[in-house]
Amino acid sequence: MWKKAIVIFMIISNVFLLTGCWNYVEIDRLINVSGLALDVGEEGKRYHLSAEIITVGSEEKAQTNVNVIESDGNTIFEAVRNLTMISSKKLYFGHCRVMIIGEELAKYGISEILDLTVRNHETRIAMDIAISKGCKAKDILLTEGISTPIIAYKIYDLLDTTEKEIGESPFTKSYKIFNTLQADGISTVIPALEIIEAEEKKAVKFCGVGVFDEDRLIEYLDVLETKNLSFINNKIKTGLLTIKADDEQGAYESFEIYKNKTQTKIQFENDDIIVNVKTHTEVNIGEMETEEDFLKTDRVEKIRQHLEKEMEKDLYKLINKAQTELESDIFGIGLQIYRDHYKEWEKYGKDWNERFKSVKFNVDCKVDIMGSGVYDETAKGVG
Amino acid sequence: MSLLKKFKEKSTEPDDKGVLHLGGEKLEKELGRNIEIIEQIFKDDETLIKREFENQKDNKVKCCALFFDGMIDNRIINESVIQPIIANTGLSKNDETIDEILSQVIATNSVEKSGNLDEISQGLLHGDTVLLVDGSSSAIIINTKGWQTRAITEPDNEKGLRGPREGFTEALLINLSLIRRKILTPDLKFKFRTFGTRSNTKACICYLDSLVDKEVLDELNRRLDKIEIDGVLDVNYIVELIKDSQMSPFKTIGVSERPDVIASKLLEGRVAIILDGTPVVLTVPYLFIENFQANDDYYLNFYFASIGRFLRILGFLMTISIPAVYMSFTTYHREMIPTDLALSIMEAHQGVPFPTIVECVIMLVLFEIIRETGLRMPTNIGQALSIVGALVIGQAAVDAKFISAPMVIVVAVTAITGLINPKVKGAVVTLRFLFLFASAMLGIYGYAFACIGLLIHLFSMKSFGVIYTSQISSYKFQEFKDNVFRASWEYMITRPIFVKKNIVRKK
Repeated sequence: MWKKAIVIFMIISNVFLLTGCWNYVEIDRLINVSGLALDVGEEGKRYHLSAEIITVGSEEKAQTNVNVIESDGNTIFEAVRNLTMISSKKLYFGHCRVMIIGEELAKYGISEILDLTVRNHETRIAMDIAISKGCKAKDILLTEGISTPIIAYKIYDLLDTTEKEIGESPFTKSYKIFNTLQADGISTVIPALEIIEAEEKKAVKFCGVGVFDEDRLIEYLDVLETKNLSFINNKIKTGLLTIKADDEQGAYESFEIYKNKTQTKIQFENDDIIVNVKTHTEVNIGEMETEEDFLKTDRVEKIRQHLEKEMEKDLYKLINKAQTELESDIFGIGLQIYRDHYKEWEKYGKDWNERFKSVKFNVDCKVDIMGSGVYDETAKGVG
Repeated sequence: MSLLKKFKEKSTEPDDKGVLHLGGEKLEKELGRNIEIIEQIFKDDETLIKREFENQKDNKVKCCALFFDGMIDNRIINESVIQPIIANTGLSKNDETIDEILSQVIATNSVEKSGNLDEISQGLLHGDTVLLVDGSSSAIIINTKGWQTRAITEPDNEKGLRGPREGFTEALLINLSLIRRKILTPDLKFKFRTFGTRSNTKACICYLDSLVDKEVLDELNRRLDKIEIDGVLDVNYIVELIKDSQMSPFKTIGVSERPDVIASKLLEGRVAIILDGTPVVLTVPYLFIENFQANDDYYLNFYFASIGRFLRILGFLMTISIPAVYMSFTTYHREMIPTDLALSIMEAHQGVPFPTIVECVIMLVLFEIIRETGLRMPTNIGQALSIVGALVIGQAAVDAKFISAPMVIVVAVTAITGLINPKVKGAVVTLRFLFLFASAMLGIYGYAFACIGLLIHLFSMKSFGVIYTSQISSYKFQEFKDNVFRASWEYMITRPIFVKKNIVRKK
């Protein structure tokens, strides 16, 4: 009997002793932080932390108030603790979805910042990270929301939509960025946001990505270049291709991307590294300005060939920029060599960024036009 | 010394258990004395009626009919016993008079000759008439049972959409006839036994001989033999004395008031125990999944029945989990709640003075009180309860910031899903609070431990030697055909797995 009681006691005591992080806090004793912004600190401190907090009204009517509170600290943790001195209740980061890093700070280095986001148990590792281009990160949080009063969630939706619908945004989640920071043979890119003035209101806009050397921001890619980067990285899901038609009028044509598959194969010849990038894109005609009835003539074939040529041109341009101007392997070619051809990586890996400049790229784009939308004539219709 | 004197001297007081020891005592030859003996046994009982009469031709043929008022069918005694004896012209007083009366005069279907006082007094108590004949040391026990019984109606607690509308009544023999009418085979066995040293309640154990597992039957008989109680007014007296896992909130013995349910259980190789005086019939062994099976499942289309079955199981899981999961999500794992929902819960909880656990316990206890009140109070004041329950507790408490609105929703969903399975309501209430307290202490981690504990408990239980969860822990089709979903009768080939012989029920 005693033996049994002791065994049961031991089992039950394990329930209490072997717990992980847990803490009983009433939900209304917390303040939700929706987004964070980090800048270079004032008054000699290293970081200046701004947090967007959501306070819910205790009035009868549902009311969500958004405030931005700020503090400084030599570490981010210290800055967070200093924030608590301003807020009356404990700050809760479980629903914090966005962290914006100021341009100035990003140039200085971001590895400590990302360390905190993945190390702390409360912040989500799937938090979005973005850079504020040409302004302080704090200012982004102080813009006005259009659809929701909570700016951080607006930015989260913005990045999510651009990634899914437009196909122009690469890695945004903090754990993914953390992984690329740690890996050799790939340069980190982080989406960048800028402030635009719209009807006397300040609004946030997605404006490409920032390219990092190690953990320091060096240069930006614009939206178009970002899309081409996604093409090479095989990250395009849907999106839009807009090109100038090759006829005399110089009209523009839009194509909706249905499906894209990019294969990157690496060859080693003598001492050269040759990268073959093959894209296969299925598109649908989205918008036509031409007067010709493209269904009756061989125009479709012409459009297709023109599209392929334009795409190849764009991709070469981006590769060229990466090799000469940025001198960063934003495509992760080094990482691919490390994964697939480890022996060669041992040979070339030591000085990869130098090596990357001399990598030869062969780009081959294949486009299939699947349909003409739900209409088969042009608005200016001749035929 | 005559028996009468012995009675008068020795006292006919019953012993501590209420048993009157008459064993072996016999009647004498003289009518008057015999009457006195019986009256002595039932002294101070004024419902005992005695009717003395003689044959009109030979007035030495003296008889006396003894019976309890209200227990007998007067017409039988008048027309088939007293009238033939008085009017008979062939009777004469001799040693065989009683046999002549028995075989030639009395026109009822069930008579018995006995001189044993035990049998005579038991017969009287069960509504038989005892006919004493002068000059014979035996009596004739005539079956004249005829008391008022309730009509056969559909039981209120187990209503169905389709299928038979009969329900058991309080009379044992009527109940047996209801079962017999469903299974017309000599294989159906009825074994009588008596419970209660004072109440002498009759009970019947009923089973199909070719299907029943002898081990289950022996185990049942062994446990029933041990029962020693003064009276049994309902089957629950027996249930709690013979059930496995006494302290468990789960039932290990099934109950039903419907003959069709009992017949189906018998066809599955189970044993039924029918007790006189109650319409509730027991079945053993009782497995966990039976908590979720309803008679309607088998009478309605199997798709529809499967959805119902699924919802009942889901309801069970929800009703024990919802308060616990809500509790742990809001107080430990805020990140698990979608942000918008988290914000509205925060907002609703703003200004509520109590911690979530107190709020939750108050509301759950209040609901149980409302439920119990609804059960106990007279039906015509039910409206007042619903007004107070819905308006005051639901609406006003939220407006007054006494309780947060999400908590009212949580408790309401818990309550509704709890009522879907009336068969497990005892277990549900216990588990709900257990889970809630585990979550309040350790969050979802505590909830997980409580779940593991529940599973360990369920899987360690047995019902009369059959593993309680045997039907739900299998992966063979024939064993889960009647669990989460109910297969078409086309595919219901075997009986439950505890049946050891004649397992195939359908070719």
